Amino acid sequence: MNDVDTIVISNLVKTYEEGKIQALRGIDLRVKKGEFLAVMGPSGCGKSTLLSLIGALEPPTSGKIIVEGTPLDEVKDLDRFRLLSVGFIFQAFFLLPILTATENIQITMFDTIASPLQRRKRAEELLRLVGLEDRMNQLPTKLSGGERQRVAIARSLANDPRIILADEPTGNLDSKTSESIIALLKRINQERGTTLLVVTHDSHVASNAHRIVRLFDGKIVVD
Amino acid sequence: MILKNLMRRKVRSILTIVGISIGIGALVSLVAITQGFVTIFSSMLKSRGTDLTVMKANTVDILTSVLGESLGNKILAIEGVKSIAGVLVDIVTIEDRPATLVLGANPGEYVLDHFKLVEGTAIKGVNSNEAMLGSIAASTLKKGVGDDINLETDVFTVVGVFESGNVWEDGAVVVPLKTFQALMDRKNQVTVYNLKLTDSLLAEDVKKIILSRIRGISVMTSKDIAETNQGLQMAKAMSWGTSAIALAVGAIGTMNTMIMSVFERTKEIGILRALGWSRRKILRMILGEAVFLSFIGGVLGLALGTFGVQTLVNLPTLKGLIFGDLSRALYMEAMGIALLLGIVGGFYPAYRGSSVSPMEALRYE
Repeated sequence: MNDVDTIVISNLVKTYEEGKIQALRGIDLRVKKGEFLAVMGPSGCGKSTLLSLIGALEPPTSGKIIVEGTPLDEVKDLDRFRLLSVGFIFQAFFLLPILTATENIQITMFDTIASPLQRRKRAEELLRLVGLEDRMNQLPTKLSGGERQRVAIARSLANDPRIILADEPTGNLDSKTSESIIALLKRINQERGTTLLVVTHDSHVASNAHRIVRLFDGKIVVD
Repeated sequence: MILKNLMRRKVRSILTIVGISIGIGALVSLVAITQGFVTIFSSMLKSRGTDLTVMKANTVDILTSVLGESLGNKILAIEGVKSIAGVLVDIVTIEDRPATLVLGANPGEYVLDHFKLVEGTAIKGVNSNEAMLGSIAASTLKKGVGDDINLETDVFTVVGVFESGNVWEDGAVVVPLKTFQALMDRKNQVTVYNLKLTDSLLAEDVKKIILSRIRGISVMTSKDIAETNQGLQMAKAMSWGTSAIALAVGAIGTMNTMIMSVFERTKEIGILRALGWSRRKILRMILGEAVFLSFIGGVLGLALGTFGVQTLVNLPTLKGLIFGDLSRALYMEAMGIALLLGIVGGFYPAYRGSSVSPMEALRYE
């Protein structure tokens, strides 16, 4: 971790249904390059919304998000931003059921690695990194929850993003598996210097982070 | 990925392919047969050496044309006309063969010159009950030289079997004009006059002169007779119309399949969008699936259409009456239409799929 801010959020507001639902009410947050930040808070406090806005999955109602010096509202190609700059990990894994573990990783590399052979090699390398060298050609239905999440982690690393956004990555896993997943994420954060934002309910998961931010009712209450 | 997406709903994909292939098959067979009529017509007139054909004006079907025999001498007197042959054409039942083309022509006239005798001799007697059979007619009637055939109320003796290379003529029976006129109660009438000119290049000029001197007739060159014949035009329009309906059903089927597929995969599309897939990439994927289905449907449709045409032209009741012109141009046209079908049927689902917001799609259950 160094002192450069990789994510700068100022006065971020997100409302739904024409302002009736206020998910985020003026968030200010700075995340340093290589930092492991845990975002905690009760259900519906806006944790996942915060992650989806940082990942450009939806636009904010107002406020500013600057990622690596570029305001997101000035990014012309947000698809490419999601492809190259951030890696997503979801609670429900979100793997495509018809594709094998390696294929699920390769789908994020169609635009970045032209050679199918090179894509496959890269996917296998990432699966080895997450400890799934013997499960490469399995469909998601043949994998355990922990293995699926490892595939999702490998997928998030495919294009070497500088930021990983993980939304409840251990939410569907037992404690032992959760432990190994967090250990893996921590290793990626330390070895690769990837900035890691993890949304979690689990204080044990959060205890591994460099910093914990607590949200309540759309606002940061503890930083 | 396109293939894997289609394979997950095998039955639905197969049914869509079947729908498209039926549409394309219908198009190929109907258009090939209609085009076959035009081809046979043109080649028949060409092989006879006919430069102009005279028939009654405004006849929808050439068989309904009725011209008086006295007209022949008037036309022959026109400068540039080398020879003229009046032919009475009708379709009659001969024994077990319900529809046989019968040509009544004067023995020795130029329109019979291109018939190559494979057995026996040509008809000779002007008022005789002699008949020549085309090779297809001889084979389907199972008759040869010396055999008798029952034509309407008369009995004719087969004196020769010929081949012309034209499926209509090879499926026809040729009898003396006078005998046929008497038999059909159409004395002094012919269906058309075939004209041979002193110079084929004079065709347009001679046509104008004939039309200026004789009213109530139409004069056509060998080329445009097939193209402007109203019956053929109607058949063409009907074959394209029928094909269009079949193709519309195919397009709707493709659209339905793809819309269902997009609905079912809303979440997956959202995942891809979240992972950085652009709208264009999603559009290409869904459109690719639709085009792939239509491509396979198209290929099978070509095979189905070819099989349909071959089956129809070989049916005993139709042998010698229809011919399928399965040209490369028709295959390419049909394949192009099949692909267009995929694009048309797939575009809206692809557009819908690509318009999915990633966040909404991820929340979709």
